Amino acid sequence: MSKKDQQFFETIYQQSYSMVLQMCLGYMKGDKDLANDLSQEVFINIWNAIGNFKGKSTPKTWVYRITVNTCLQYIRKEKKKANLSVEKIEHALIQENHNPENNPRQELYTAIGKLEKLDRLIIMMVLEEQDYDTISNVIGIQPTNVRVKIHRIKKRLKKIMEHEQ
Amino acid sequence: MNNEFDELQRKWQKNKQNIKNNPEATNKMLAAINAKKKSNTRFHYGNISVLSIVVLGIASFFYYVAPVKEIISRIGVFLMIGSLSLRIIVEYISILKSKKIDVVDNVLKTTNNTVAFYTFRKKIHGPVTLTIIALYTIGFYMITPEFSIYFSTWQIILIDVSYIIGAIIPFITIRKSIQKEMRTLLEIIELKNKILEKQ
Repeated sequence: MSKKDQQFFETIYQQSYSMVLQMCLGYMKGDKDLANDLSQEVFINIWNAIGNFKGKSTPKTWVYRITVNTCLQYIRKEKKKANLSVEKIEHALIQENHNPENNPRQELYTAIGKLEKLDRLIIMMVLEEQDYDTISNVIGIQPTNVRVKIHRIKKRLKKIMEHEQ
Repeated sequence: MNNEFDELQRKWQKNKQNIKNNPEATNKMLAAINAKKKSNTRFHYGNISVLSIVVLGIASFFYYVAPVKEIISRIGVFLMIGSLSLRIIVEYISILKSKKIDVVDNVLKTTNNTVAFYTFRKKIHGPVTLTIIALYTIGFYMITPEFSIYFSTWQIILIDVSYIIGAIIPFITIRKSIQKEMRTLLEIIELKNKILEKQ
């Protein structure tokens, strides 16, 4: 990797770290360990792709694409590795202590986590204040279709949150 | 609904502000990324490495330890080594195809490429793998007549039976991995339908 690319990577890392981790937390229902692991995967993919960044889209849209794709790919890998181990049980016990009632910050991630995978990612981009064009660019569908989806996801999220209260 | 969503958005932004990134954490993350990159490469090339070691082992055995003389045995060795080499080539093509799944593309394109990759895997698991196993097995049993000159009958029976038992374990492992990959294929197709669904 050239020095210029390395500097570009560091700039992207500094600018998007909190956004990436926050999206990973939402995707992983607030599980910090899994979210950290997933965010590392996102930055590995950014690192690998940085040399091919042509500037056809903004760096922000580019990072969103990598984040969303990595999240969707990650679940597949996790299922391949899934087995019951001592660490997993310990982890589950730690998670038990982090339930929404004990941690209000967790409440938001838990609610988002109840949505379907793709819906989670779309609504998190909305929470990130991204416009329809950016989201449509990331997902690869028409902005009008994005608007319909977002409306439906918001309704679902509202139902989930009402049910929890 | 808008007020509730605005509230949610405020919570989201507040949580985001609490995520701090200091230089020490950055360095730790960069170190973790490097470690993970190495482990991902090992995972990708693991199968190829194991198969290459087996090919080298078999080739060395028939070259240095038990060089077979009969033509039929030599064809057998060729089939065994050839089928494993074919498997290595298929694994390599598979890696090249998986690299076409570019996370830089939009989600729909990535999903389409992933479907294409798993469809290719489905083909590999079917006729290609069966042919490879058949060629390897035929090759193995073509060597046994010449081996029977040097080994007693019960030793040959033991070798033949142990091959069958030894083949059951990889067969079960392969079958499990096929089932997993086919579940993944269904899951991706479901995701694609979800992306394209309109109402």
